[in-house]
Amino acid sequence: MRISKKFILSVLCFLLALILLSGILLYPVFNYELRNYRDANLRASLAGQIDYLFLGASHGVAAYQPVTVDAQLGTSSYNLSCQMMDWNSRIYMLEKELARNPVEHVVIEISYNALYRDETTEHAEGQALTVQRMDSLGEALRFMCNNVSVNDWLNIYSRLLISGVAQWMDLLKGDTTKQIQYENRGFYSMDSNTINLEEISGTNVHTEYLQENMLKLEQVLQMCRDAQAECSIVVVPVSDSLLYKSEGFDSFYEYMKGYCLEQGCEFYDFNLLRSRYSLFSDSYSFYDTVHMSDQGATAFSNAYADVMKRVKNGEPIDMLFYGSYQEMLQDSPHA
Amino acid sequence: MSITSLEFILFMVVVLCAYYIVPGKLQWVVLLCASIFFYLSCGIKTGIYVLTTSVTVYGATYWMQNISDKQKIFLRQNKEILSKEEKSRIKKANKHKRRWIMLAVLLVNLGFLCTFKYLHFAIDQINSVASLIGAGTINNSFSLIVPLGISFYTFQAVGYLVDVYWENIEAEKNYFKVLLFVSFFPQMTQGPISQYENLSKELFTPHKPSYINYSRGFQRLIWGFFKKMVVADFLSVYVADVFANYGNYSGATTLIGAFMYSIQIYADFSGYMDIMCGMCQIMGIKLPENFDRPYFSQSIAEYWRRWHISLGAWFKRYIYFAIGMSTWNRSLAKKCREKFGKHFSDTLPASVALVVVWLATGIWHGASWAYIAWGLVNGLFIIFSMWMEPVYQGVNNKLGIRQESQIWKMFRIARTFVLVTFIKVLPEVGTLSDGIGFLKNIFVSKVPFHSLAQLLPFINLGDFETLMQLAVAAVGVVLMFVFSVIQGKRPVRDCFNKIPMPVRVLILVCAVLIISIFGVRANWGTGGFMYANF
Repeated sequence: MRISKKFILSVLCFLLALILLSGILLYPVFNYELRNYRDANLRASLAGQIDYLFLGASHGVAAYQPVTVDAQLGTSSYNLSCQMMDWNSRIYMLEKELARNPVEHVVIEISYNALYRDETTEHAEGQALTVQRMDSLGEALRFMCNNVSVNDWLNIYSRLLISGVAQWMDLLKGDTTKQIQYENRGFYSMDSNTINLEEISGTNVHTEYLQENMLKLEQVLQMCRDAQAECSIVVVPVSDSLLYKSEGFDSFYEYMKGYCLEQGCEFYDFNLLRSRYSLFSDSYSFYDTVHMSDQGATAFSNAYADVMKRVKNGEPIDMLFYGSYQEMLQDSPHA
Repeated sequence: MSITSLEFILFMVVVLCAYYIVPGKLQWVVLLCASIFFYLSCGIKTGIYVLTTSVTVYGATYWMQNISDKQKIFLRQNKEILSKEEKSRIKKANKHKRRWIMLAVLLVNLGFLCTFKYLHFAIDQINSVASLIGAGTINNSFSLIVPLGISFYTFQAVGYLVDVYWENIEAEKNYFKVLLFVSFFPQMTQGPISQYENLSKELFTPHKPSYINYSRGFQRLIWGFFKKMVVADFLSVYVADVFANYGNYSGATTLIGAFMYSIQIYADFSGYMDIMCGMCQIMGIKLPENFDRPYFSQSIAEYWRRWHISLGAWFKRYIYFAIGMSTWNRSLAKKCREKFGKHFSDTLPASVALVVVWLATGIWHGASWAYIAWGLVNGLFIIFSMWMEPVYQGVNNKLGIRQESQIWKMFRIARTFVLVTFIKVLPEVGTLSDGIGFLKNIFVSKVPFHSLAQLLPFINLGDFETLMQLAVAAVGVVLMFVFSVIQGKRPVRDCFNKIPMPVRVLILVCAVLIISIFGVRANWGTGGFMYANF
């Protein structure tokens, strides 16, 4: 009996100390808005106002500027994207915002590898960021139970602790510059860097798709239909250099065109914008080969709004886009 | 199921709870169910090979025991009637029968092992010869799914089989106990390889809950996870980089990579042992130790008495002594005494046995010429040291070197560590020529370095997170060293348990958090435990 009491006491002490120290480390993660994706309060403050949602991963979060698009279209949009956003997270976040906003249009970003990513190899990176976007600890736990495999709980815990340590260091330094800017409405501004063709070695893009991801995309499209919101699928631009050195885009483009026709939604591939070589430059429009810089995002957002305005007015837009990647690459500055 | 996953931790918790809930005499049944579940979770198809091993070994040992028992009863009953020659003839006949049973089952099980591990290698060699003589080649593109832990459980089962043949132990009558012995999940993937007479006492004896076992077992478990995940997994990425690109690195960088590998493999393998031994200790089960501060060895022979102890013990018991003490070997030694003197004849049987043991050890570790060379190099070093022992003693006496002096001991430890490291990397870089090229690069590389960044080009020293991880791993290595030094004088856990309980709990909680932050992250880039590949 003495041994059992000692054992129970030490187990309780251990668990209590673990919970306490974990809580201390995780405190800034759930109580401060020190990262761009910690937007639970922002989204809550906009509840009931959003009629246009942009949903994607890191390419989306760096490309779509709600303020720029809203100024042209008169919408009230929000960029719901997040770095490494997996499909379960997309579904969860979309469901939440559809439930509390009069959303009329949903844009789904699938830039180059969104449909190919195998989330089982990503060690819950996307889910860990989504957990930090929850309104409360309870919601975060519910999300984990329903959307994260048991094996990945340890990965999520680890990522949250790492995030917590990083954010404690920010707080201790008094560095609050990472606080999200409410006026950006989810958009994440990135610096410009010059992309050099010579530094790109071989193909590093995936222009294929996994069946499980296609099923999730279908689920997203169905959610939009159920909410009576229009849906379009968009590819945001990647750098000229990457496109020039990569293969497989045309077959993927044809596949997605066919898929969207079947599903009854619009498909816009902004890599094929005819004005891309004047609008976007590898010298200043990109942060890296696949993510747009702030300058590039402004140009893209304006171009996107222009296309959407024409669509709304019933104007033809086919002449605004190349017919294929092969055709587009003939005009490439690298050709 | 990965040992460093939450899945395995939850599995452990369930097993431990079930182990102590059931009555003592059913505890081994819990272990058996857990082992079967663990094995099947890694692949149902490969479970059939473990079953085959356990069934054949059980059948063979049961049969051999039956023959022995019947012989004993017959000889006892007919003690007065039978002559000495008749008794001898009966014993010889039964021994012959038992030998054939043992050999048949050995063939089946070692056949499985050789097929899965060495078939592709054998076909490659045949094809190389065939290409040379212009003959047709064999298709080698088919894939074989190697059963998990086949090297370890086969050796464990074979050891039991031979022990029963030698009549060192009686055969176990309960098949399920034999199945548990063969498939006991803490030992399945990386050992330690146990003998039946020792492990059976631990497995089949009821164990009562004990606070000391819980406490010390848990401490060891945490230490194992720390070594594996914070140290070994962190180093593995950089070691792989150095091994793959040594030609682009300076000699100093290559040397650092080699030392990092030594630390990595020790942290990985001993970390696994600590996890499993810790878990077993919580259940009151004592597994044999596999490491005894190997990097403090003063010679290669001593190193191999301290590294992967259970494998060395297995080879010693079932191969070394069998060959060393064999009649033909001893008569060879006798003949050599007349020609070459006492020292040579005394060491000859051991040398012959060592060549065979180290050839087998090299092959056991991997199906490649690099591993065979690695095994033979180890063996030759040990044999050479044995032969040169009188010469070394003479030189030391002439130079007035005191063997007991600390400086001399430290020199020998450093020398052995360097030698062992150089031998270790031989098969790990790739082919044998890659291994030789790697070692050559240490001494002849013309790539210069003028800064820390150039010395460690494979680590991004500008990245804060990497630096943090490097710092924590470095602290881990220092702790490993310090604990090893303390362990030489008294058990580290005795010192740790003198600390007040709240402080101990805090230290363990901090260790768990460090493992969660740095260890889980490092684990993302790796592919599991290194010795699991064997």
